[in-house]
Amino acid sequence: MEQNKTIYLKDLNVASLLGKDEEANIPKDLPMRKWLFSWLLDTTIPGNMHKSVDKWLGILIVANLFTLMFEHVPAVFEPNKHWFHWFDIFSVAVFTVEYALRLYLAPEDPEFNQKKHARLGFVTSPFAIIDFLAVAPFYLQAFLPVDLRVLRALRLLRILKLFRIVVPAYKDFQVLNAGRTFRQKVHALVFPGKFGGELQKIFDIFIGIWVLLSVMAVILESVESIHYILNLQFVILDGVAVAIFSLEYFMRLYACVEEPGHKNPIMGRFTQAKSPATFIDFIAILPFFLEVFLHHLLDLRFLRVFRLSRLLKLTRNSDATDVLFRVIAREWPIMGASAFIMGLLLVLTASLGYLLEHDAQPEKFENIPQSIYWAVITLASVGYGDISPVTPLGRAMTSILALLGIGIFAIPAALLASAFSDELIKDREALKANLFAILKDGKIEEKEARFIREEAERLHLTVAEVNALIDTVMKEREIEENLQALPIHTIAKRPEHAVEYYKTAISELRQLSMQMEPGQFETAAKEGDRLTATELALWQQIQGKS
Amino acid sequence: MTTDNISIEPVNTGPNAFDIGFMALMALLMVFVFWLTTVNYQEGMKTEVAKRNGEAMVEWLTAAGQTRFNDDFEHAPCSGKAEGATWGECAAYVQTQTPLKSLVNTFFDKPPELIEKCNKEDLSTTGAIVIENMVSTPPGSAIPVVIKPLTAEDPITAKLQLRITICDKGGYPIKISEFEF
Repeated sequence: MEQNKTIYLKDLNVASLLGKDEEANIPKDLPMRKWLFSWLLDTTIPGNMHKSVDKWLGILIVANLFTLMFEHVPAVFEPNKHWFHWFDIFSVAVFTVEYALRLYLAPEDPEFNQKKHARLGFVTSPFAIIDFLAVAPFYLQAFLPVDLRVLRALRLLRILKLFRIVVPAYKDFQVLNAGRTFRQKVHALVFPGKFGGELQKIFDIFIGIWVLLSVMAVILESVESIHYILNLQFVILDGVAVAIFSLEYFMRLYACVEEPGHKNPIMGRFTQAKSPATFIDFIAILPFFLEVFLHHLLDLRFLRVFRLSRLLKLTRNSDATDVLFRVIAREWPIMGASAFIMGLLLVLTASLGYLLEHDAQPEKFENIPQSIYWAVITLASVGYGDISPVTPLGRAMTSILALLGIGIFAIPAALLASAFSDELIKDREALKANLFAILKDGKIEEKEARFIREEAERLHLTVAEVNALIDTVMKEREIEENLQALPIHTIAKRPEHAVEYYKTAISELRQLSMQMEPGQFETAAKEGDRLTATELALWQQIQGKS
Repeated sequence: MTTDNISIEPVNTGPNAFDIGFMALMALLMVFVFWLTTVNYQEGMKTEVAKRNGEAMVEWLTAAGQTRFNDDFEHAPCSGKAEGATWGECAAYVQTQTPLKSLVNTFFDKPPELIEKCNKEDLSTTGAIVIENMVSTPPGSAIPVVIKPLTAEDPITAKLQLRITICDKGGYPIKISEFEF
């Protein structure tokens, strides 16, 4: 649940603000049992190891699921029997230590320490029973002759250990969504937001795991020897993946009307359906249905490759693709010009190659379209060598054009690299501008803290970087407050004040630009000649557009 | 302002008719995907049976290949010592007189055919078995072996390097094994 916690600037701890407390504050002089509980299992102490413990146990449980699955594939299991056996021993050892530790620490656990017999309370609790069932079959086989198949079936109970992670997240989700409608709950689960909590993160991880699994399956399917052995397993895996991705796709479509700008039940869903991320979700499931229905009409094996597009689903959780699209959209005119020059050079090279080499090698430089392949390979510095000039003139021309090609073909890459860097600077400037506004009242509200956390995560800023940014903002604010009170001629007397004044003025102009739609300012400036060409050029220079 | 006279109506946050419709649709979708996966699985099983057919053929021919030049070899049409013995006679014998006669191509519920090549344009080749002869080329050749279909007229009086493939649901070849016959 959202806490209405206000942080005053004098008490500001950036690491704590970003939820990245480096170390838990646990006194060393605590009794051993209390100290262990505080470090390993206490969910209320930030910075202790309980999240790491949960994470690694979760990974081990998932790994156990995979080993259970592969134990049913004789071709995989038989040659690696001893590895499976040792992994099982390792898992049981870890789970046993975990059980013993929880049993030992039960009297410190607030869930059980109110009971008369805390450890008995733990042993009879649902989670402890699940933990016990996860390891019991292993010890059972040491005393009783148990059928291997029964043993494997019992080991499936280890999946239930995941409840220890999912159930608290579900309870938290219920609290966060108390009084909200079913559709709003679906929305909270599939779209990141303040109502999703840990369950939304688990949902994302679950989808991510299935994306990786299904992509790995597509890659391994192309290895003949593996496909030969695991053909049926791949069929089942694809079916389960499609079921999960279809469910996710329709849940997103159903709940998207809760998103801002998607209120209309039909148009909102249509807008959502044609958004790149949802379109990727659609492409990820489409081949399965097409192949089943149309396989007798067309050879649709090529569609299987489209299952690799599932990997793009992972971009939903990353800002990188958005930035890439933004950068391409912004640099489109320059990239277009660069592509035009590249095209021109390509045609020219191919034509010259044809002109100079056709007589000497008519089979290789048969016509200009065929020479274009050679031109691309030469200008892009690939140089396969399957087609090469043999005449002195042809070789001389190739030497010059290859050198030109390095420069011309590198332009788009350089453009993109610098545009990426610009975008990052712009984002940081925007964050700085927002921090300016946030810190104005000398305190940070919970809503503002969440914004800083989200932005820091999106821009991959470390605690030190955010700290530096906040320091800069605070200094600039102080100077701005001081300078604004002074008349211009007083500021002009001190060069360092003049520089700060100048910086503030430019920063304000940049903030002004960020608040406006792209091109709006230029259009208004040009209409009615509001600005001179020099003034407009200066504005564009300040915005980094020239 | 007083709230004494305001009656607070309980807000129903449970699923409404649309929500229930959506859940029903999702349940139907899951059933549909399950059914399609089952269909895929059954088709996959047929390919598995075709692979087992190919493996059985490899096993029998490999075993026969080790003894067929002996005088006491019991399967005469496949003997390497029989004058003018051809693959056609041996294949007919294998398909009718040996345990391999019980093999079934589950795509068509009939014995698997021995064909020369899988053909994705002709789905009647699905589940069929292709036996190819791998002929070594002279030393120094660009390719070490030439692979050609084993035809009915091909003599089997010398040792042969064979390769067996089966044709899958789409008429694509799946290599089973290479062996000496």
